[in-house]
Amino acid sequence: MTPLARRVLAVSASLGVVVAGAVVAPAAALAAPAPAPVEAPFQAPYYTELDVTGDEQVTTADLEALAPHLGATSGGAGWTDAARFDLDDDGAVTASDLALLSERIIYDDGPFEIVEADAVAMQAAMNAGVITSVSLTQQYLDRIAAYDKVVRPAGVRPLNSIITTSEVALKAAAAADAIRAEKGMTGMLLGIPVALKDNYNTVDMPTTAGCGCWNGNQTSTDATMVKGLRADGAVIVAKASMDEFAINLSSQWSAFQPNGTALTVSSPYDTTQTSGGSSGGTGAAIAANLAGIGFGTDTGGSIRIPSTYNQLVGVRPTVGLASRDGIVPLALSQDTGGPIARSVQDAAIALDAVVGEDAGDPVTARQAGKVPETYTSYLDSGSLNGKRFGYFPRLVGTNTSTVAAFEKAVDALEAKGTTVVELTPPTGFDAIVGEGSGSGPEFNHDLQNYINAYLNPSVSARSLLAISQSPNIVPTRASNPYGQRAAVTESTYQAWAGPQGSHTLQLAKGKQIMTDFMNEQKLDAIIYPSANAYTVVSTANMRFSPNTGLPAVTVPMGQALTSGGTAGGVNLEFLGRDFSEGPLLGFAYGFEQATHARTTPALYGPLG
Amino acid sequence: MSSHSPVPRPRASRRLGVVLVAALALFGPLAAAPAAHAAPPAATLSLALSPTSVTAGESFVATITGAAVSDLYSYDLELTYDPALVEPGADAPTGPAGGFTSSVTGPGTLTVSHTRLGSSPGLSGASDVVLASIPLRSLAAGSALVQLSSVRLVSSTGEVVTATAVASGTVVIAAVPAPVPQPSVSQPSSPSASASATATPAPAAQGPGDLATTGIDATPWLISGALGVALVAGGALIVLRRRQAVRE
Repeated sequence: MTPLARRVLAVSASLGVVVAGAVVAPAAALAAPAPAPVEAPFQAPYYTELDVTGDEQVTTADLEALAPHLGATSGGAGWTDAARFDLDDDGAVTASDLALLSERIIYDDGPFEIVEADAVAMQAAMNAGVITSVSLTQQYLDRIAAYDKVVRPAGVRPLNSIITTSEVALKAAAAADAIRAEKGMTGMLLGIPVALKDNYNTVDMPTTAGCGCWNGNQTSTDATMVKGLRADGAVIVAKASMDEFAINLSSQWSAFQPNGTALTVSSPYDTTQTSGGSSGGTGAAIAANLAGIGFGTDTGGSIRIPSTYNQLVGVRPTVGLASRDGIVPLALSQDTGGPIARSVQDAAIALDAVVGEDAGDPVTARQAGKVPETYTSYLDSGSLNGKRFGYFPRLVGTNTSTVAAFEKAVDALEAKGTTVVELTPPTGFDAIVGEGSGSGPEFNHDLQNYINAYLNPSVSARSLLAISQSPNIVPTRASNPYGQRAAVTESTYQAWAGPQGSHTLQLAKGKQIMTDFMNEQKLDAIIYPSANAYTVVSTANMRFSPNTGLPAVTVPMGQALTSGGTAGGVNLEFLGRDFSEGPLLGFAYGFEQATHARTTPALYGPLG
Repeated sequence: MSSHSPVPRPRASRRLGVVLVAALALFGPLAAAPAAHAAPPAATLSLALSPTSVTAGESFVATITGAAVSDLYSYDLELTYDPALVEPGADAPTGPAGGFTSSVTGPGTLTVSHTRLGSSPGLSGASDVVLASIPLRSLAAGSALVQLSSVRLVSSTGEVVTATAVASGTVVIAAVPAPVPQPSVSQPSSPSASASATATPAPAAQGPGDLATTGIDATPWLISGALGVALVAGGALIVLRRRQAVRE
């Protein structure tokens, strides 16, 4: 359940003001969603500011409120009441004003194209009856069946981005359709098909973490984040592949594969390239339009690397914003779950559903009072105006094409009114980005806690040591990393991640140093490329966020070249203060709207 | 209302382009051609009254039809008539399915307004679209002129065109027969289809190709009034005149 305090909104006010001397006939040919209470006002002010009925959205009820005033003119009878509907300020209420109000309704009876469709387009088409959640979900299932495990013409490898498709997704979609029929669009995720990295517990699909050794891990509960998604009406359509146990920044997995074999996840833009990792399946699937919105996890880059390689928007939230309970862990000092989406708007919609305090993950208590009612309220294309961003040249790197893309991004930011300054790293910066990942010292400890709490009793590999000895894992991983990490003792763990552990203290110190630095420099965000094309700039770029616990949002900024001359997407990453996901999404939105850098993978267009 | 940044819907940037594009459509059709994605709305409107002969107290329907409709997202259609002879019918006017239709009446006027919803496309198509079906009721004997006196068309990108005196028709209203039958008096039979009043503005000079998508095909009545002549039942002469588009 989404922990946001949901407002109960009352439809207010009698608005039956009639223009003097006129008679208003009842509206005919109505065809639009009935007013329904919304769980949180979506994308204020755009979708909310013209509401007059008090439900913080525009529906035909608002058109009915305007209708009596059509024909009213400035100075004429009834203008006092009519003036608020003169949306174009021309001194009269006309069809132009009716149109300006109507366009704020989420509704579209035109043709629906699933490729690159965002959640608003899906909602609009569902509200108009052009599609249903059932038909939409079926389309994604069809695309998965047609595209995921095959080599496309002009391709080299299959995507291998999906491990399991849901056998109950269509039933869930039908339930969402029934809710829409009864109550209207109750939220922006109602009926939207979502793909989850296969380390999120789901009651209707096994959670393998990519490992054949856990094929039988059908959990009895959903992860807390999954509960939030379902509560908001999302349809969990598939479990996306991942690097086994979320270890690497490229993705190989063995789930449901013959012993001793593994599949490699490919980029839909160039199937000879990796889709990144560890959330590589989510990245490839969302980029190839195999699901509406995706979720990944990020310990040291696992959301942001697949996002940048696949030209997607990724959110690595503040540690403590979204519960990790029910997610197969790698290192809880730095683990986060977050959305991977084709647009900033979709990412914001998805994030809304999964934030909240959860006793199952006590670190979430940090968020009290710091979570907005909806992240979509930050989506303002003017969000960049007057802001001040800084960058460390070290994080920009030396790849000339990436540098060029970054410089172009800076130009775009400056054109939107942002000041961008070069930064001199503060004292302690090297230690921040040089701190190692928790995935080595913490994995054994944290994984065992998950095993004890959630692993299906039928699964025999019930420790990292047992996993390392399983025949059904990605080849070559038995000794390193699994065996080595299985040997990490509790005392070693405590010396690293305990209350006074070295890692614990360094992460806290890193957060404080960078927060103080941003305050001193009056920065709204620090920016840097998430990666080069299909390769990292440096580990520093990926560890900057997890080693400070500060949130990061990554968004496509353009194309760069590999050393071999292959073009690939590169993202711009915004890092901000604790729990500043809202402003960061706003910056990313402003940049996205100014640049529209994402492209569609040509190999995975509409089904014939 | 203040302007806020919208999501990237197709209609998001409408306000900025309205004045310019409308002006181009009026004064420079060729210059407007490149703006295919922001062409002004277009429709060839006709008004039909049926039946055209009634007895006082009987109802008739005014049907406003659009032909060659292009990107028509919203519109106002104003009918005027002699309120001593005609009044709105009991039933509300209707418009195309899938949108929102309302009407407002005043002394001798009835305005039907319609809009598509959300990011839906404007109405388009070569075949006729009934834009409004308006039940009216006759009140007293006479020859009642019903005029489509003013229209405002709005495209999905906010371009506006307006026109006045677009079309008209006449309905002949006979007096209610006296209570005592008069053998020598008989009413005309029901009017034939050819007697319905229609006024179809003559099309504008058009460029080649698919004009609905080139932007050349501005609203037909924007062209010289000399072209906009049509004879209708009862001999009414409809003269269309060009009117400056109203900027939004």
